[in-house]
Amino acid sequence: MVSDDVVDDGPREWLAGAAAGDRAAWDALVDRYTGMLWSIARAHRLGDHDAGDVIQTTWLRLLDNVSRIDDPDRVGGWLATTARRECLHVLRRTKREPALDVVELLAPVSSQDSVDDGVLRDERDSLLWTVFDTLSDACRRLLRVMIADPAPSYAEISEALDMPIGSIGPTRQRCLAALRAQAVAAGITMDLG
Amino acid sequence: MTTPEDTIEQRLRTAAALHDPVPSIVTAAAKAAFELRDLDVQLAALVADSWADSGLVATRDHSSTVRMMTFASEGGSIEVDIDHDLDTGTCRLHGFVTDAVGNLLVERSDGSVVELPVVEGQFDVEGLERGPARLSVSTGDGRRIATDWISL
Repeated sequence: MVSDDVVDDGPREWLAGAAAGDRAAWDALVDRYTGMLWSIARAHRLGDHDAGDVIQTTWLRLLDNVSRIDDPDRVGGWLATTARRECLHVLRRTKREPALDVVELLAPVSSQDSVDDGVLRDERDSLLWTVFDTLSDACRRLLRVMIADPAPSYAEISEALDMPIGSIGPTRQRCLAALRAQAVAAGITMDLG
Repeated sequence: MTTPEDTIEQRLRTAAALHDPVPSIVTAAAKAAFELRDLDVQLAALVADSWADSGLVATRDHSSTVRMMTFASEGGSIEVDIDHDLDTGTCRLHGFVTDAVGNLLVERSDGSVVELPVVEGQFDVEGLERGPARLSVSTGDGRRIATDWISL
């Protein structure tokens, strides 16, 4: 468990703490950025195993370089770049087009018996997730990284996708508009809270 | 002010959390990696990588699945060819080390270590499972040098 003091710090302090051997600081870094790294691997359509390997390799690289990061405030960008390059190497190793098992992506969520708003929301989100996978590859890649939890910065998204920061906002608008249009066409109720 | 795009982005984030969450084992492994921190090892710099800057285009051709990497430091160097076997999902590592004393170590992210004999500067092993790994050797001046972590 990460202590409250560590949680109140930021990447700069966590990096310094990890370099000094503070396990809680390392855990805080992992908690902050693993969601982003997972999204980057998924944006490259890696399956569970390869995504896990890329993420572990990325963290081990940071561990080796924990005292050598030039700009500690940029650690998220450093991780994003490292993960993107590892994703490309894994894709090359497997000699394949980026492709994720659709069945894996669309695995059913646990069913619930009662029909209430929660169930409706889950069903809507499931359908939205299905529609999301039909977007163009460029849109799907950008949005998959963008919806990491916690949300990455535009600088981190830029590093993750090797994409100019200035094009992220307009592309986001266009892709979300396309997703919204397809969601409405698929009958997804957009006003459900 | 929340735009329609903001709303659908948040709903998509919720859907991702439901359908494609980070597996807890991935987070746990990343945290456990801290135990592998090694202050005594000297990182050898990557000076050559046949896959450097490989992009998605590279996946569409039928070029070699062999990755050739060279790492160097003041104390010595490690050259390694990583030959991926797509059928078995394993790989062969073979290459050269200079100024090394003793065996070459293949360190895995679970903390396990495979020791490979170095014969006349060469090493060769087949059937390594995929996953993160790094190579290290002891050098004649008493230091230990290691490569970056690589996804085998």
